[in-house]
Amino acid sequence: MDLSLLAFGSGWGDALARGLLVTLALAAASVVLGTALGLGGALVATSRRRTAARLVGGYEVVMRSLPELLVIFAVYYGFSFALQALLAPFGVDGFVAIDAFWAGVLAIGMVHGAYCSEVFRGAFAAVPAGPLEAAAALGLRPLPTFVTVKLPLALRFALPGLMNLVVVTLKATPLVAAVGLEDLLRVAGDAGKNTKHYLTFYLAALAVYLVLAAAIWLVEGRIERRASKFLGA
Amino acid sequence: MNLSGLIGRASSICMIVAALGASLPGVSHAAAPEKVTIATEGAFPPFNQTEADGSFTGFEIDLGNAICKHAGLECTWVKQDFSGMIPALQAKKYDFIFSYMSINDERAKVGLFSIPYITDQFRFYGPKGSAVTLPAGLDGKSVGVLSGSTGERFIKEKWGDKVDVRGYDNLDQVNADLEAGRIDYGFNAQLPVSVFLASPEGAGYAWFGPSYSDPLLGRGAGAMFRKDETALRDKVNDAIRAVYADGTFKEIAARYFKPGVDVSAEPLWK
Repeated sequence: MDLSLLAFGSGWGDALARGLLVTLALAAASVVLGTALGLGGALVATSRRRTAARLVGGYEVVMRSLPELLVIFAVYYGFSFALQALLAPFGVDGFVAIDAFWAGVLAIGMVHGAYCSEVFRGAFAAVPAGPLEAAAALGLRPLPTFVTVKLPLALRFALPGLMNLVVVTLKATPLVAAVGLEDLLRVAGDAGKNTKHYLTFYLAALAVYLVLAAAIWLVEGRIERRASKFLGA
Repeated sequence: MNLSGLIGRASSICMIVAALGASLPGVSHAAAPEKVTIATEGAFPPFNQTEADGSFTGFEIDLGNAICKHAGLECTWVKQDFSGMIPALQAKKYDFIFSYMSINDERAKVGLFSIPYITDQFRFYGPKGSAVTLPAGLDGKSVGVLSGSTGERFIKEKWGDKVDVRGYDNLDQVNADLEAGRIDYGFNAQLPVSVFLASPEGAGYAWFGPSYSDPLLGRGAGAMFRKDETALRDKVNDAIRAVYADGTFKEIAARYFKPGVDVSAEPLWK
């Protein structure tokens, strides 16, 4: 194994670092969007608005059933074709550039959100009735009850599942290479094709993904310990 | 792409803004072909590959640039996965494809091809000494091909009932599985395989059987355009003829291919 291939400056180090940055930014943005979508989805799905709950539930089943790659293609090419069709009457003839990065964030975020919603629903269901009854007895209105009692408790139950999904989504980011985004794994693959030293570059990528996942688990463990201190279990 | 680039992209081309119709993001006008963008896979040496700094090199990059010079075009290369190349052409992400796209009827239905600028015949290869008589020797054997390639169609049509055809995303995966013993033979255009056969990893492997040229295998590789881009196509056609006529093609080919390897597509259109 020739480690000089991974060097910065003369080797592929800079290219790999740029790829890592894309991977991190993509994962972070997708997780933020997906968690927000998931929380919103869980709230609607557990609400008394039957029709809305069914619609959201159906949408999430679809999102969880489709291959992520297909969702990425649908967002990237689908939006692009739709926008072109929409803009054609206004004399705009050409490629309406949908940024591969944001198309990826939207697609992966939507899938992440569909899984997240399940985690939140489970967490809401796990919140014991006692604290909620206490809040009602104190005369707390629904919104303060939710924000100060139900959500904080639910988050503690949701945390392991949410962090699990963060790792799943991190691992889904290489799929966005299919629409031209140069993430860590894509750069490693290109470097392998160019130099024929596949093993070197794929092992380097493997090490980086392992370190990233380990960091996520480390953070998860810390937050969980901190959070459960106050649970008084 | 660095972090500021990311943020730049975030602010400049925000699809949500575009969806609301509040602004018209990066629209490339196909009507002004003086500035054109060309798609390359960037991962198919020696035709095209990506360097550590993100630039592209290879036979097609040099040839494409020479063609652009002759045609008076200002060309920029963009990278695109081979599997999504035709949809992205139709989505007007770039003006034409110059990335070893073999010409066949199926593709000609959805796009417009230039005259072929290169041709390469197909052949079987496998472990040295595997004396195979074709086609009887293929019975029950597994053969690696590029999925979606003309080679895959050809072999399936011709021997699909006897051969276990395995599709791969790229040639390196075919060769890796050949080395690992997961497949018996490979079937591919000769040029990229000649690179493998000349490498240390390919030392134990050799060609066998005849070279195949068949309408199913394509009629050489050409630049591919959208259906309505006849003017640009004609311009590129003239430029291809010009780089063949003035010796530029031969000179570039000599840089990338072994002496004696003839990749000239001239017989196909002369």
